[in-house]
Amino acid sequence: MTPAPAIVDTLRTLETPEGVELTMRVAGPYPRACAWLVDFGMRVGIYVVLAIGFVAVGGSTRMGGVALGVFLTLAFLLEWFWSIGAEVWFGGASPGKRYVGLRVVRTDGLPVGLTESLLRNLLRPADFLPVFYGVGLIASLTSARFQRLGDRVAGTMVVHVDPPPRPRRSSSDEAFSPPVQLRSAEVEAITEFAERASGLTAARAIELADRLEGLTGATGEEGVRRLRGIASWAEGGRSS
Amino acid sequence: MKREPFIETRQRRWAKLRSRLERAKAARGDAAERATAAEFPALYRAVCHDLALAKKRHYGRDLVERLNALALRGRHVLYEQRQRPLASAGTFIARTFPRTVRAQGRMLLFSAALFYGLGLFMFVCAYAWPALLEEVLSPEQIASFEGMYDPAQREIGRGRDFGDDTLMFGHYLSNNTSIGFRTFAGGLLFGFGALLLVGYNGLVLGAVFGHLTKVGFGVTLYPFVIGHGALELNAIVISGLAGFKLGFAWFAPGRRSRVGKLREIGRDCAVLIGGAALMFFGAAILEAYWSASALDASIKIAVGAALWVLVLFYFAFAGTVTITGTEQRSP
Repeated sequence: MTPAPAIVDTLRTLETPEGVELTMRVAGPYPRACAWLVDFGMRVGIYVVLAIGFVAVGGSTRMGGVALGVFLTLAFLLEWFWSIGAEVWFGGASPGKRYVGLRVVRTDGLPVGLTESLLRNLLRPADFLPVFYGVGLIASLTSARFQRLGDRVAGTMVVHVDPPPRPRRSSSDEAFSPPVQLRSAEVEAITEFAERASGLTAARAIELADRLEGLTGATGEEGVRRLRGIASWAEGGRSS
Repeated sequence: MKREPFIETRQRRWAKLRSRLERAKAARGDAAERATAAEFPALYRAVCHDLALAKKRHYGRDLVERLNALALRGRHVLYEQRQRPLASAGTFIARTFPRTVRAQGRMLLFSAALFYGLGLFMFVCAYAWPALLEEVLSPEQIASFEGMYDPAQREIGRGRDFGDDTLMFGHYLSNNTSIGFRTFAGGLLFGFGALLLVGYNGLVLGAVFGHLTKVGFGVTLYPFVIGHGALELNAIVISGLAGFKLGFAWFAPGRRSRVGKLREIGRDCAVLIGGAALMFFGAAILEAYWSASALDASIKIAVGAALWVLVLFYFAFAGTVTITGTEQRSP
């Protein structure tokens, strides 16, 4: 095998017994911070509601001590077991992660169990230090899978659930058969160009297409058109 | 085959898998779900096959990514380890936890020696040289502890009801367990966090005990603490132990990478801190509802001493005896 070119991206592939490679997109610090903020906001909201409820119940009677004790217990559970409960019993994602479209998986791509969830969440204070996830940020930026320290010990990572929205190549392009045999990676590059061409300025598309003049035998608008034609040809004209 | 006919001929089975995944999420393990479950693996494999074809034939990245997401979700459901953590709690308490604690050997001794050793040291210091006490505790703290255990104030009826007990339960649970969890997490910072918290708690507790004993408040202190102390103090030791394991993995990963070593010991650490959490929970119940009760001091001392013996026996022997040989099957 020739060594794969070093591509810097957030895709992690895993080979399955079904003989296909599945691709996962690991989530970086920004979407995770968003998810954390949503979770935090929800917890604060729950605290406020609980506090109001318990003041209403306990303010008057002898039940005050019970109410406060239950409040402290619930606050403790919310603080430490919010994510653990959600990850183990509700599909690997705290409500905030679910809202942002993230979930926690093991590095082999499978759902987390109680062991992994306990580790990554109880080790959170170490990542939180010195202020606001400083350690966690450094740890995840130095990791190929954006793993904070807790993730590394637990063997977990946070991935995007859904693929990003992707423009579809316009299907009206007339197929253009390339004069030479193209390798798979080359076809992929041309297909991706065709998909993105609609989002590029005409000048930029031409600039890119002109570099493949040797392949298309044309420059300018015609070169772009032929490249899109190759993508159309690749998609419809081949059988494996 | 062109893209469009490919999608047309396949999209029905994609939709079928998608709706099956929805149902798997909604009604895990219900009867109708199980009756048709047999076709799920075949559907999943078919989608994997379609994904491979779509990639190979360059049908467009949008289609590939859609199928990829579908296959990933299918894989989650198919290969998920069905766990029922609450159902296995009994095995955990009866066997897994005490076995794991016993297996830690010298690290366990280290954690216990650090905590109890520093505690004893500070106890003696506070007893013999009261001036040293103020190195550890502020005068306000000392006054507050004295107020809590002054026999003169404690004699009469005590005036605590169920509500106060529940309040204290919430306080003990959240306060003590959080300290345990932070001790564990602190271990990940090269062990220093765990060292600091275990050492500090040992010193403070030793100082408080030494001082209160010296001023003659032992009559209220010891009946109060002996019961829940059996669980709580040892839970601190075990939290520290879990933290020290993490810290030690940084310095001596053996023939593995550091992260590899951390992952290897991760399972044991999860068992230890999970068990410690249960112990803190038990301690909070005891401390709130038993230790503070108005029972006679001699009863509390007797029960407390029995609890210590029980806890030590638990860690020494629980899970060592195999009944009926059911364990033999697992290698």
